[in-house]
Amino acid sequence: MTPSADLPPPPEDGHRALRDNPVETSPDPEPTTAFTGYPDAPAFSIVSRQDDLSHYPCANCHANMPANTERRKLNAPHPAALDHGDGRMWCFDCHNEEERNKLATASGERVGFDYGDQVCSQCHYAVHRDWTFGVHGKRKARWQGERTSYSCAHCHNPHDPAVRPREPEQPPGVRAGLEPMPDKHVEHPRIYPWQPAHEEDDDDQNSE
Amino acid sequence: MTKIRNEAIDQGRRRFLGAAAGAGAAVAGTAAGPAWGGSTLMDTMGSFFQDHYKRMSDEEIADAIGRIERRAKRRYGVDIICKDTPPQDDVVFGYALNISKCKGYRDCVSACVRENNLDRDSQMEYIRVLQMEEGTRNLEHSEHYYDPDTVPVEGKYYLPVQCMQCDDPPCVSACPVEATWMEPDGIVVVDYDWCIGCRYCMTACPYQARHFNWREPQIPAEEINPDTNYLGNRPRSKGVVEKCHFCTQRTREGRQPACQEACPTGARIFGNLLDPESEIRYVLEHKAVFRLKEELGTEPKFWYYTD
Repeated sequence: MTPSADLPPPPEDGHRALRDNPVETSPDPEPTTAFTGYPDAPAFSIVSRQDDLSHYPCANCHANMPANTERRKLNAPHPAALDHGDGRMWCFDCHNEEERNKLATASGERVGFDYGDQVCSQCHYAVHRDWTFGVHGKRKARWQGERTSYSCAHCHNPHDPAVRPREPEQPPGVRAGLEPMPDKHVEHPRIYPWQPAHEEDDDDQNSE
Repeated sequence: MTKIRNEAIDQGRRRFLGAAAGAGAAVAGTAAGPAWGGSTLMDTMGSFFQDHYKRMSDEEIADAIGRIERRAKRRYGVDIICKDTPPQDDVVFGYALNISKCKGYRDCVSACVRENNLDRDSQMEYIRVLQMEEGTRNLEHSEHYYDPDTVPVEGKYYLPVQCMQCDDPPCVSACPVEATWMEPDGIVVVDYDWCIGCRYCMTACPYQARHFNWREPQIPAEEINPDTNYLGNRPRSKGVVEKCHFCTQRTREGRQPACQEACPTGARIFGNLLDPESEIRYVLEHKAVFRLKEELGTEPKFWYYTD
C-alpha cells in the first residue's frame, strides 16, 4: 500500500491531518483589538499567534470526533503532561468542547486562540491587569504609536507555564591589555611586610 | 615624518597637533602614498577644523556625516548610514525595569553590544547586570562576572545597571569642554569628536555608566550595525568616552531601544514620561518604584520596580 502522490508528506512528528480539506473556521468575526474590561486602559492589539500553532485548526481532526469528556491522559500530538494548576485542570477547562477552534471561558463564552488572555485572566487577574496596561509582558517593536502586545501564550506555554532557568550570555570580557580578573576568594600574595598576613604565613612565621 | 605617514591621523586634533608640531613642513610632503591613513587631505583638514556639534550649521553637519561614513568605509569596509535624527517634541524618555522579572540572562547586554557597535571582547558594555544577594541592596557585594550554568541562581536577584540619563547629570557638569550634554528629550549624549578623553565624567558618574575607549573599537566587519546616529552609535575612535544613549538611532524614530526589544522576560519598560497614557507612567503611578542612589540628587530617569 503506497501513499497517494497528491497527499502532502506526513509531518516529522508523525501526525497528519485526517482531512485534507481544512474545515471552514468559525464565521464569528474576531475582534480587532483586545477586550480588556478596564475602561481607562488604552486600546491595543495583540500579536497573532494562531497561524503559528503546529496543528491549528484543531477542527481538522476534531470536526468528525465526538467529544470525550472523560478525564484522561492524551496521546500525541497533544501535550503529554499538563503541568498547570497542580492537577486541578484539564483540557475542557480552557478548550471549548463543541467548537475546537475556540477556547472557552468559565461562563461558556467562546474566544479565539489569539484572545486566550480572556481565559488566563479568569485566575490570573492581577497579572492580566498589568498586561492590559502594558507593564507585564512585551510590547512589539515600537514604544510610540498604537501598542501591539504579545499575548500570554507567546511566553508561557499554557500546558507548562513555568519559565525554566537557562544559560546566561557571556560575562563581561577582560579589558584589552589587562589580566583576567582573579577569583574573588583567592588570597593575593603578600607584597609588603606591613600587609596582614594569611593564616598559612602565620604558621610559617611561628615555625621560624 | 614616518609617524605622519603611517598612522591614521584623522582620528583627532590631539594626535595631529602632537605630530605636526614637530614636523610642520610634513603636510606638504605627504600628498602621495598612504598618508593621512588613507583619508584625503580635505577630510583630514575637515575633521581638524570641525566645530562642536551644537555650533555646526546643517551643511557642516552634513559634511561631518560624510566624513564619518567615508571613515567607516576605510576602517571597516562597510557602508554605514549616519543620521542626525533630531529629538521629538514633547518627549522626555524614561525607563523602568522590573527586578522581579529580570532573570539575569544578559540578552540585553549582547543586544546592546551588537546594536551600538561596541568594542568586542573588552569591558565596553553599557549594561552591567549585577547579581545581588536576595533581601539586600548592597552594591559592594554585587557580582557582575557571574557565570553559572543556569540563571537565575537560587537566593539571588538581578539588577541591571546602565546610564540612568540623570536629569541633573554630574557627568555633564564635570566635562571641561562641554563635549557631553542633555538633549531636549532627556538623553545625555556625547560628541565623540569633541571629547578630549580626560575621563572626568567617568569619575563624576555614580553609576560607572561611562566607558573609555582604550583602543580603537574592534568589530568584525560583518557585525557592524550600519544604522547609526551622530549622537549615538556611530563608530567611535580611540581615546573618547561613550555611554548608553537610549539607542537614539532607534528611539527617536519611535522604535524600542535594543535592550528592551531583546529582553525575553518583558522586564524593561521604555516610554515617554510626558505622555500620561504611556506604560512608563502607569508603572510610576501604580508600582512601588525606587531609583538607584537616589540620595545623590542626580534625578535619574531610570526606575526599578517590583511586581
